Amino acid sequence: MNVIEGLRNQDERALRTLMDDYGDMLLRTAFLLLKDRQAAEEAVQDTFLQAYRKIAQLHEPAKLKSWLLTIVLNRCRMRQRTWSWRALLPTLREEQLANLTEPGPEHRLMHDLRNAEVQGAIGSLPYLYREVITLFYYHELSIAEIAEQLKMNENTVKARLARGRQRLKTALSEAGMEGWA
Amino acid sequence: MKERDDRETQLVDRAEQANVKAQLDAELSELRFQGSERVFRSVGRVTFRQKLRAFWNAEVGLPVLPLAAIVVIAAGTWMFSRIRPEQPGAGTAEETVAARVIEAGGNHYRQDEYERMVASLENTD
Repeated sequence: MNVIEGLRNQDERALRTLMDDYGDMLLRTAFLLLKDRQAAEEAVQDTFLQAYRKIAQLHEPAKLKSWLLTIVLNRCRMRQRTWSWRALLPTLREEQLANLTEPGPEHRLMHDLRNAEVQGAIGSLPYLYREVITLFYYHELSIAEIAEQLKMNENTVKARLARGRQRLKTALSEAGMEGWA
Repeated sequence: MKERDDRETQLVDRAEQANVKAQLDAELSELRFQGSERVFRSVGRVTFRQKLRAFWNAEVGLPVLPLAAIVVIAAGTWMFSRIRPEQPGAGTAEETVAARVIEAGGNHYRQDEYERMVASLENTD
């Protein structure tokens, strides 16, 4: 089934295929940017809804992944700007998780993610560096591709990437990861 | 020489990218998108809340330089008007000077100076 044709015909099976194909990748991208599982899920849900409703705006079917990535990056930026009670109450949420007598899979996942060193180090960077670092390392994009994705000047991307990589290396070497000093 | 350096840098970058990508894939492998049912429930209906949120979070691009120039000009104008407040009923600068110059005994004097001198002479009498 052609996913894009299906979406243009408002076929919900095409939407399911789209979510199966790109859901995990977009969620992981959003998680790297937002550092919050719930916020990342919501950003990706919004992304799929927007893609389903605005599929007519995709003029080059070959650029579907890049188009979805643009939407999720914008959604994450919006969420980053939006004030949230969640930001005020992170300790409350952690206490709720800690109070669970039997840690469930969600709790174990969050615990594992908190202890994950590279994504933790990326999460410690300021947002503008986190964005280029995520695209460079997680999506393995070149500087030119990042510039096109973010609608940004290549020199700006180069500068941000250089500073971001320096900060990332410092964070990783401080965390004791070998080969980053 | 520079081309060789660039190629070597690119190779190092690619190796580092692949290394970090593998590490991230391993760290995030358990993270799976679970919101597909919520997406299906929301398909076809846009709530007022969503519309409001989209409006509130709409990205607006503001040209910094023209805006800064407008703010500076507006602030400068305001400051200037504060420093030199306009006299109510005052005419042009020339009219104001003419009104303050009086003639006495065929000579022209500034009104305030003239009045002060007259007052001081009256007081000595």
